[in-house]
Amino acid sequence: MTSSPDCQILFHWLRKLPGNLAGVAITKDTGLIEDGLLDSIALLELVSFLEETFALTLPLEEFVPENFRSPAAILSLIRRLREPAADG
Amino acid sequence: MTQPPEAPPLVRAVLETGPASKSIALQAGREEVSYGELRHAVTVFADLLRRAGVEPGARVALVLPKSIAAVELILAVLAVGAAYVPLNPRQPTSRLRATLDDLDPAIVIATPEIARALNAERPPERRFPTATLAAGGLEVSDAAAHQRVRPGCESLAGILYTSGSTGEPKGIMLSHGSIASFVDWAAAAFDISPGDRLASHAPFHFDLSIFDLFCGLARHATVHLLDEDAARFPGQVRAWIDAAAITVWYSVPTALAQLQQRRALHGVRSLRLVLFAGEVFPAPVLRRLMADLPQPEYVNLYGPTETNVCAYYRLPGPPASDTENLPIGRPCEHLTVSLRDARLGEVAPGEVGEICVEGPAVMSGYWRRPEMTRASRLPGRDRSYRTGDYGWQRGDGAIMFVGRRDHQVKVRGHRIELLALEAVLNAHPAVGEAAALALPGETGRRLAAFLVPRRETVPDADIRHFVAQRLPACYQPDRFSWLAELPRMANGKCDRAVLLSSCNSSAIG
Repeated sequence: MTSSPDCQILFHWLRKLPGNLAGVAITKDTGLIEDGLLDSIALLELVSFLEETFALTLPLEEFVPENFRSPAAILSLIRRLREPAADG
Repeated sequence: MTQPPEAPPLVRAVLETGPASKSIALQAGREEVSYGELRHAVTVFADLLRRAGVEPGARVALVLPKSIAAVELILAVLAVGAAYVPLNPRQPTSRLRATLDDLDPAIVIATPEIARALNAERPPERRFPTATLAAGGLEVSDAAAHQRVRPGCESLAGILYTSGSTGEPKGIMLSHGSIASFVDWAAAAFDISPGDRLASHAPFHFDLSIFDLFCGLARHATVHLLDEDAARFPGQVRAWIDAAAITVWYSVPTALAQLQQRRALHGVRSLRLVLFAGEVFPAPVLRRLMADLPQPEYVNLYGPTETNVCAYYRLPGPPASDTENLPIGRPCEHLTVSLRDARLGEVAPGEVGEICVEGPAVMSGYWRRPEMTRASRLPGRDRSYRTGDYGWQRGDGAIMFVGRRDHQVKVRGHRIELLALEAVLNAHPAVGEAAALALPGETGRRLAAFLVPRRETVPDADIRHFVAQRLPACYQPDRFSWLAELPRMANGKCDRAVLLSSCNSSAIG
C-alpha cells in the first residue's frame, strides 16, 4: 500500500510542507500535528488539496484531529470518504 | 520587601470565592476544577513561588501550553504580587532566549523539554533560573534570582510581548490597575455572569486572553480552554462548543472565518455573544456567518495591546452589503479616545486623525524602552497612547478605521511589521532584494514574499528556515515568488501596487 497512487500523491504534497523546516523524513506514521508540521494554514490547504484531487467533500464531523494525525490516518480517511455510504 | 496588603484585584474573585466554591471555574479536555479547587491550587503554587524566591514586583515567565495548571500558575504569580509574562511555547529557542534576555525574569516556568533546550549550551552564569511543570506538579530546579524590583514596577501585573519594528521583542507592561479597569468595563458591558461559559480561544501570550480569563473568573463564570491544536479543526471546535454549551466566544475574525468556511457554527444554540478583534472582518464572510448563526449579539472590538479594547461596535444586524465597512465604534466608557493631526491637535469632526487613547487601561510603558514609551505618549500625559492607526468619526459618534501610519499590517490577528520581514529576507545570502506584502483573502490575509536572487534562487525551505530562526512564526510568508527584478515607481521605490495586482490573478484565500 506504500506505493498506492493515493499514497504517492499525498506524500508528494506532504514533502513540500512549509512547516517541515528541519526536512523531517515523513513516513506513514509521522505525527503531523504533534510534530507541528500541519499549522492552521497548511491544514486548510491540505483539505482543499484532498477535496480537489480526490473529488471528495470532507464533512464537518470528519474535520477532526484523529483523521489528520498521520499520513496513514489521512489515507484511511480518503478511503472511507470514497466508499459508498453502505459501508458505514 | 512589601507584602501586598490584600489579594490583588485580579485574583480576588478566585481567592475569595464565597458561594461559588462548588461551581466549575476552568475546564480543559476532560479535566475541570471548581472555584474551591482553583483557590487551593493557586495558594499552593503561590507558596512554592515565594519559597523559590519570587517576590512582589518580580517577573515570572511562563512558557507553557494552554492548560488548567498554566492558568493556576498565572493566578499564583499575581497572588504573590509578581508579574506574569506568558510566552509562546512554540517559538524557536533562539527567539525565546532573546525575549528572556530582554525580560530578565526571576524565574522561567516551562515544560521540561523547553527548560532543557533553553539552557543548553549556555554558560552557567547566563542560565535562566527555571521551574518545570510536568504531570501537574511544579519542580523548582534552580532557585529564582533575587531580583531588583525596578522603580515603578510594584504594581506590574503582566508583560505581553509583541515584535517591534525591526522584529526585536517588545514588552508591553500592564499594571494591575490597567487590566482591572479593562476587566471591569468588559464584564459590565457584556454582562458576564456566573451562568456564562466562555471560550478561551486565544493563546495566553495574546491580549485577547485577558478577557476570557479575567472577566470569566472575576464573575465566577466557567472558562473553557480550547487547545491550540484542536482549534484548527472545525469539526472538533463545533463538537467542543456543543459539549460545553459555550455562551461567549472571543477570537480574531480569521478564526471565525475559517469556521464559517466549513459552516461549523451553523445552528449553534448556546452562543449569546460573539466578540471579535485584531483585524478587519471582511463583510461578505461576516454576513455568511451571521446568516448561519443569527441569534448571538456580535460586537467588533478595537484596540492595540497597549490599551486593550478602547472602542467597540455592537452590530445592529448583518452588514447590509459585501462592501460595507464595519465601524470600530464608540470609545469604551473607561477611556477617552481622540483623533489628532500631526501636531497632535484634535481634528475637526469628520476629519481623519490618528487614534489616540487616554485612561487607566493604557499600558504603563514598554519594558526597558523609555524612549519608545515617551514617543508613544501624548506629550506630558502618562496614561496616553498614540495607536498609529488612523480613523474618522461619523455623525453618530462611531469611529471608522482608515489604516496604519507605517508598514504595519495584521495577518491572522498578528501584528506584522513588513519592514522587519523585508530586513530579514534581505539578510539572506541568496537574496539580492526583497519585498513583503499582505495579500487580502477571505479566510485571512496571507503574507507574500517577493525575492530577487543575488545569483541563483534557493529552495523556499531555505528561506523559511532562515526566517524561522529570526522572527516569530506569524512572520512566515505563505508564498514566495522569485522575480528578475522588483517593479519600481518613478522615485525608485518598490511599486507595491504592481506586486499586489500581479497576485490578484491567482486564486488566493
